[in-house]
Amino acid sequence: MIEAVGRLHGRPTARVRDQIRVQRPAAQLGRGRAIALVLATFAIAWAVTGAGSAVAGSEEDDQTGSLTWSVRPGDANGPDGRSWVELTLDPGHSVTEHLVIVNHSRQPATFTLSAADGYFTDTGRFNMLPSDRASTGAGTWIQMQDSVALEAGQSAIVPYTITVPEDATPGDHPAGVAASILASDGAIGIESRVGFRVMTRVTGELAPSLAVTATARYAGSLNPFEPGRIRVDYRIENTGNVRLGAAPQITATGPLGAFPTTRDAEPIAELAPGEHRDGSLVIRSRWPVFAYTVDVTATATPVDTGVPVVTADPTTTTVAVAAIPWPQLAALAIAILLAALWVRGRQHRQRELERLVEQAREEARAEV
Amino acid sequence: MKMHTLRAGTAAFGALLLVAGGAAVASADDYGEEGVDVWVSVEPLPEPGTLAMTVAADWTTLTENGSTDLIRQFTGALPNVTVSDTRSDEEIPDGANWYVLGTASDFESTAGDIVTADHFGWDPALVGGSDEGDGVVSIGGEVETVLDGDRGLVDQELLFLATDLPSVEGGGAWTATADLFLRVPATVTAGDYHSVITLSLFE
Repeated sequence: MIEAVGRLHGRPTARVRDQIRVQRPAAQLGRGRAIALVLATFAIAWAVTGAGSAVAGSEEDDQTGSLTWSVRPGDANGPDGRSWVELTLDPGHSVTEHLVIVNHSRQPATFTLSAADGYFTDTGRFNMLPSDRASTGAGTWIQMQDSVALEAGQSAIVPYTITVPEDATPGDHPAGVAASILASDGAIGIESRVGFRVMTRVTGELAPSLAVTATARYAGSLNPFEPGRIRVDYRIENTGNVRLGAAPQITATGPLGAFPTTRDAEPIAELAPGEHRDGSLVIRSRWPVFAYTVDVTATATPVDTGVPVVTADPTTTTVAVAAIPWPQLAALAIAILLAALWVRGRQHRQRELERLVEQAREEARAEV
Repeated sequence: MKMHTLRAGTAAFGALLLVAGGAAVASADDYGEEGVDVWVSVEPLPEPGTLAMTVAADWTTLTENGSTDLIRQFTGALPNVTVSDTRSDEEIPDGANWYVLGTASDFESTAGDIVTADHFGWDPALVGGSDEGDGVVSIGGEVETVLDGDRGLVDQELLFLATDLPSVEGGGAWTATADLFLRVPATVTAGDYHSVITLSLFE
């Protein structure tokens, strides 16, 4: 840890210091500007010290050199209550936003500021690309200073600019911004990021659209008196250009519409354009009725954000599943076989009895 | 010049008197003869809550532990990661919960050999036992390595997350750690390997 702290202290901070708006006002500034700066500094200090002390107070390991920091969206005056940033911009236009970073630690620290393409993980959580992977999308639209050095308890309001390229396609372009403590050179470095999403909707023709693919399989029970189950694996893809949620619904129907059953699969909160999510669902207590028709329907749901709601028509894919009742057929075959054997055996015994009776008669006649 | 200043000053003083007199009359009209208690209500300054992350260290190590003839295993621990949430219910938008994700980069040796990140897994745990979460946070599941038939810490895996709003008065702080393990075939090239775990707090 000593090594890590040394590295943090050792970073050159002079270059970024004058870009931060809330550092100590320089002596040569005009009085009016200095007062404005002092007021701004006061306002921001007021905004964050209460929270800062509350956070620091809950820390148990202040002595070990741990670092605590927070990052929120804001305007030029400080945090503005947003949890993340939703923007609607025309191609070629740009807007300046601010992030508020607070060093709650009891030691100075230098935070690396970064922007990267955003995406949703397989479990539906927003994240941005790690620093060893290059952004190609909206992450490259965000310009921001590289780092910020903060004393213990100090905060900074850092402007960043989102510039939409002229040739950007209409629709949603997720990105994120974060303040990170970079990994040191130990065997396992740990890079820690605190950030928020920056969602940009580029104006133009919005085309909400989902696509569904599915496979299904019937798994019967060996016990002919037990029903089997249908396992459905599906993939829902956002083929449009806006973020959408999806509510998958699966219907299994026997021949000629017999025994229909419908299940709601786990809803998908949010899919970015081009992303897909895999899911599976098991429908239990299904008797093997030779065939099932499985319909997987994805109904688009709006994402709960500030941008206008768009939605797409439900889309359905249909797969056929063979559900041959092999155990039941086998049981039936065995039953038929047993019955045939019993009938044959009975006929055989009947013939044997007749033969014995006839034989007895023959013997009786011979004696007479 | 002096006369101008004096005249302006007199006029201003007169105007001030007029305004003050008018105000006094108005006040007397409003409140009659009785004395009026003046209460100044000093509201406590609203202290915006904050969502902060604490990391105990920016590195950790793995040591060989539990290797077999076929698989070499190196284990370690993730430094404590604490999330403090002092925001009030009103400050947290509906449906927004914080979470911490982790991912690992490929292990690269000083000689340039690569062990892919899917050989690396973790088993997250709340510090202080399972009661630590207050029902507010829940811990991510164990992610095993490709040698165990799992995917490894390749994609963004969950360390822990808030499942409910921290309506605890004064907010809360929750600390998680994780057992780390690297499992490689015994045939792996010897060397000093380095990887970076990226932890991300988002909501």
